[in-house]
Amino acid sequence: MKLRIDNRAVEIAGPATILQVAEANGIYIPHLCSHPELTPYGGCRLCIVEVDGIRGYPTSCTTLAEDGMVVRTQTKTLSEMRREILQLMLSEHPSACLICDEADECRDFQVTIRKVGITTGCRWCPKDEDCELQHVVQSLGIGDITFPVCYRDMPVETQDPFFDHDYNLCVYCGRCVRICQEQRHSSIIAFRQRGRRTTIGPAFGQSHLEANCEFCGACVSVCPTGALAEKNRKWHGGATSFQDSVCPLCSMACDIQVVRAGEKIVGTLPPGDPRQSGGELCVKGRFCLSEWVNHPRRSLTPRRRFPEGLGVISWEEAARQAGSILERGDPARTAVFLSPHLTLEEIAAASLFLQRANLAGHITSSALTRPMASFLSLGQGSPTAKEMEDSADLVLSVFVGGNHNFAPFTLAVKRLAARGIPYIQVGWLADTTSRFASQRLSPPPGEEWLFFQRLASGLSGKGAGPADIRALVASLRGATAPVIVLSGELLNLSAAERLLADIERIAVLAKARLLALHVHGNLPGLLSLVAAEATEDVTARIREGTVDTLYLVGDQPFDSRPNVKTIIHQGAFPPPDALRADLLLPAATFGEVSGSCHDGSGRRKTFARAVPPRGESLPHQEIFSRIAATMDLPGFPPSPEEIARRIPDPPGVILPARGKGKPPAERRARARSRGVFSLLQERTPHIYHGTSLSRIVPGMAAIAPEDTLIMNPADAERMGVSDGKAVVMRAARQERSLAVAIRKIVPPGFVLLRPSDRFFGGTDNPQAVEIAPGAGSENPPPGRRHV
Amino acid sequence: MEPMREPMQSILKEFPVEAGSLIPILQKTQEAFGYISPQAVERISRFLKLTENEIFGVASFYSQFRFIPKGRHSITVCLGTACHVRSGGILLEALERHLEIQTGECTADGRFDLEAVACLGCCALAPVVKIDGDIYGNMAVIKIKELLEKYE
Repeated sequence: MKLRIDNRAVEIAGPATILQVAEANGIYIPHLCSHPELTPYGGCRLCIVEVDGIRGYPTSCTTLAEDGMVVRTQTKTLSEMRREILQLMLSEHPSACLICDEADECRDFQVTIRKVGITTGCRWCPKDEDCELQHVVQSLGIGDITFPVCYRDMPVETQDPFFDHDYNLCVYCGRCVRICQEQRHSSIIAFRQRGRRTTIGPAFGQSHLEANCEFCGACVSVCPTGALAEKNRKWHGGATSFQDSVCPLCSMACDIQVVRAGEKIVGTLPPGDPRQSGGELCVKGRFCLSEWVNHPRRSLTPRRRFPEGLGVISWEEAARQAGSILERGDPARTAVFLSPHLTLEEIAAASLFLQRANLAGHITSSALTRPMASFLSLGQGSPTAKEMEDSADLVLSVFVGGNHNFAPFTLAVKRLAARGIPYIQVGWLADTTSRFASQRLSPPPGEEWLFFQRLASGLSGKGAGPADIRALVASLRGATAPVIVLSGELLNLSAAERLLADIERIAVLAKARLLALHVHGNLPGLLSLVAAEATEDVTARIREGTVDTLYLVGDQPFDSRPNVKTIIHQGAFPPPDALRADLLLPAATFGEVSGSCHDGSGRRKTFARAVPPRGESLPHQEIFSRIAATMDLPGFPPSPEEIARRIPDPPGVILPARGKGKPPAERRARARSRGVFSLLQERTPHIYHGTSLSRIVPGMAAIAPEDTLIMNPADAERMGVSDGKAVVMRAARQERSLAVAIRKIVPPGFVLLRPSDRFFGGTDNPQAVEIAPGAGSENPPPGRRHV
Repeated sequence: MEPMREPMQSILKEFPVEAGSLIPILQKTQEAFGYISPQAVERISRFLKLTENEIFGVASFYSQFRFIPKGRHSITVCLGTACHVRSGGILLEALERHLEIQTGECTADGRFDLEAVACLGCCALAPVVKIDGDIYGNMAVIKIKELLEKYE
């Protein structure tokens, strides 16, 4: 097709809108609501053009280009109309700076110092110089607003984690509403009311947190103004550069890009054009990494424990001390914990170093429990989320809580379900995929293993089972390429090993592929490089008192001091004070090292460092080299080629021996009477280098609070408790006072607890507990606005 | 929430599961309960497979839908041309202050709700206030307290 735009002949291959054709040919048409990831909307009316043969002024973002069209984008009429439209928008948008006589000087010298209660212009807006509205104003040359100015005077909403909403700056382009609906399929926000009372947000004035928002940040990315601004980034000014990287936080290993302001990481975004990026990440990849790197509690200097407490020492002394501790100790009485979030290169260097230092036989990782080993063996050969989306004709998810995790998987499931592929969700918690489920199954708590046992029997033709299982058997038999998705969260259940054994049988019987999702990033990579012991074996030895020296490399397995003589901690954050580590070596972390990792399906992903390590912290490899130098270890430091040679590709995972798992006692944890709930407990599902993100990132503490009882709104109303109020929880042997957080993810009759320490009330999970409101003044409830 | 299940069920079963059913369902719901409650929205959300936020977005666009229960007595203040000229707006403000609520809200004790309309059709009596079915013409701010005492 050929057409003329502004007297230029242009040619296009496929169907495209006039705006797309113009942009592809470098012709600028002002627009605010149009976005390449979204369907045309025609809301802002700025992209109007003149087309021969079409009456009036069609919007170029909604008009398809046709053969032989003659389009004019710059005429006197169009420019006058656009200026009129833009002035109408600006009459409600703080823009006093635009019409101020001193605007130009003020920009450079701030000559006009006025005390004003409200934002009058761009200088104090978080999007200053990175704002599409500003850009359009400049391109249309607006220097005056002829309409009366009407400031909306709405309070800035700061109660939600990670981003603020200032709807005084909003131009109602609808990009945030549309990306939440079209791309995330979440629809957490909508236009509310109409006319000048329009606001954007969830139903009934709820906060995003109450509305079960995923906090993927897609709305923030596409906002053309400063109405939606990242809390963590808003005062850093514009980005200066971008660096492609890989998110280390879970087995999906998403591609991301690091946003830099000078030598500082100020944010992370999905890949692609940073100004057009959509929402392919979860909250952790989008918001947590930059807060992790820049956290004020980062360990920035080597320190050792003196009788008076921790004191700063030089790297030379620290390396010498570490060397002598490792040299002096009996290798058989030393235990090394490696973090599953280390890069392959770091692990390879660690394994070489430990081999040379004669410590290679004593390596473990806090993530490597026996159930985890079973889980990983099931997950070998996992498809990627993309492969699942391309091939699956049925998806069965088993205890996957996907609101703040595993975004590529949840997005793929939503898109599959929208295409009519059956999606069956087994589990208790509700996430944003739940409304796409063709079937939601909640096995009676305490009998979840029975559910899978019956399903396995049903598939093997033995025993008919109840109706829901028969239906599921029929759907699985009818599917040709089913995918069963597991998440590491199910390892918290006391019946986990038994469940996994049944799921393995089910997968074989149904000829299903297994997709195992976990938050321990590079754990398969770690296991392909070192033969590690299960962590239970090592902790048992520590309890027995047969371990003298603990060397924690990035890992953080203990909150308080175990029964050992010496602890070396090498990581980005200092361990808890109660660990009383003897030597602290500050290590570089995400964004500060180059390297590679294996994702859950065994593909290798490489990334380069974005910024130098903060303070005196060093990459783990460098730390090993410095320690090795004091120990006179031969062949160290290794050449990069030697490190590269050690890394197998694809990974051949060596697993510790699998446990059988005791069959759980027959029991029901179902809530039967008033005040009795099924308590579900989980280790924090948001962990990085052995540390819960909820303890580092304030926003994560609001999303996934620890030591807080999470309860359904209906239950909370029935019991007369509100957010932050204290309740007393009783089980057979224990009683505990806890603050309540009200969230829709937990169904009625259930409560969810993520203990920072040990599980409540013994090992049964889930279990029945009794909950009564009130009491417990020793446990002050954390503020809800803890953001 | 429990007593609502039955009537919601009987409303929903009349409609096909498609986005186009939303507004008629909302109208029927308001007819049955007098307002659209969060619980009703949740029930509709499960039925139509739309999120609660999408439903609220649509419902709040139309002034016919209300989201708070009606009071025992409904006060309607006319803001039509004649009443506007004769200070209907000041009456409304005085009522808001007196009842300590905003237009569209209901008092905490559930006694009164307050709304404004464009015209009640009896402009000769302006300014006009309507309480339940009764029309009060030639109203003034000083008459409000006495008038409201008639309604319990």
